[in-house]
Amino acid sequence: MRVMVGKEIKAGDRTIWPVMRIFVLKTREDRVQAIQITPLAMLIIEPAGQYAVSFAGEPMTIEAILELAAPLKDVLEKSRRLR
Amino acid sequence: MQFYYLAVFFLIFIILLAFLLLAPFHLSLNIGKKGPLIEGSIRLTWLGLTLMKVEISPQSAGDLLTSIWKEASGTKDRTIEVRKSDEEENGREERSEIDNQKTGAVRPPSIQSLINAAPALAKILRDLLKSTHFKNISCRLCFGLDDPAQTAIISGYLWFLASALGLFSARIFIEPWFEGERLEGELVAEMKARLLWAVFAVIQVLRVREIRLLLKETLGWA
Repeated sequence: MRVMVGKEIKAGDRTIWPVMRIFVLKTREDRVQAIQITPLAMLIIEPAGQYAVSFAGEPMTIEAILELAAPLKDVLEKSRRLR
Repeated sequence: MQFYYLAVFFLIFIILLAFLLLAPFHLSLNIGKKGPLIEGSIRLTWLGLTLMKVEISPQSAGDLLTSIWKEASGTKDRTIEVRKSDEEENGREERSEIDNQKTGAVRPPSIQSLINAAPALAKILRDLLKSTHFKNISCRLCFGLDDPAQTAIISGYLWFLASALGLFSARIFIEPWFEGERLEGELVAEMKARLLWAVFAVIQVLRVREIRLLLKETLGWA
């Protein structure tokens, strides 16, 4: 099981970075039996700022999403440099 | 006396034909890709005779870069040519369609014809697969797309296909790579097939009206 950052989605001047949990069930012989993809949260970057949304319905801070998916730190830094 | 020679000729012809249809063809594949290097071999034999042998030797990094550069420049040149002759092309389209009908050049069939012929196509594919016996098959594939969600979905489809084709018992390993784009793996397969069943399958499928229509459309005879 691992938490991954998906491919960025562009919606006008808004960029959405999905965060998902990928669960791979394997046999002893290393054969894949099942794969489950669960969306967890998304980081939304807009020209005015950025915020995180959790699919669990609870409020989510930027720190919380960064804790969940560390590669998003680079994404945030890059967007801050571009602004 | 003439009838005797004729009968002997037909007998020999039938024996040769039966021999050709019943003697199995053997195909061995051994293809691998590691990093940018692709190597392997393809060999087709019949009655111990090698009919085709293709060796794919690993390219050096320099050769690979040269071939990539050549391909890229070729595409660029073609793009410029296409842009230049865009107007001419529009005028030619109508003429080429008529020429296709005259010369019998292959062209894509309509979606409706493909849908109509789908059951018969599935049947021929099933019959061809039945006539092919996999003696040994082993496949190891490690792949990753630019999106981990897509990688996971495609991986699921590939495992489903391997299972549906009855290859699950064989040595099939499909490893999803979630860290980025990647394609590595190797395929080793040995199979044998008799022409007899393939010919039967083709004859059977040609009796279906939808397939005949599809062929006519593809060849530009419709």
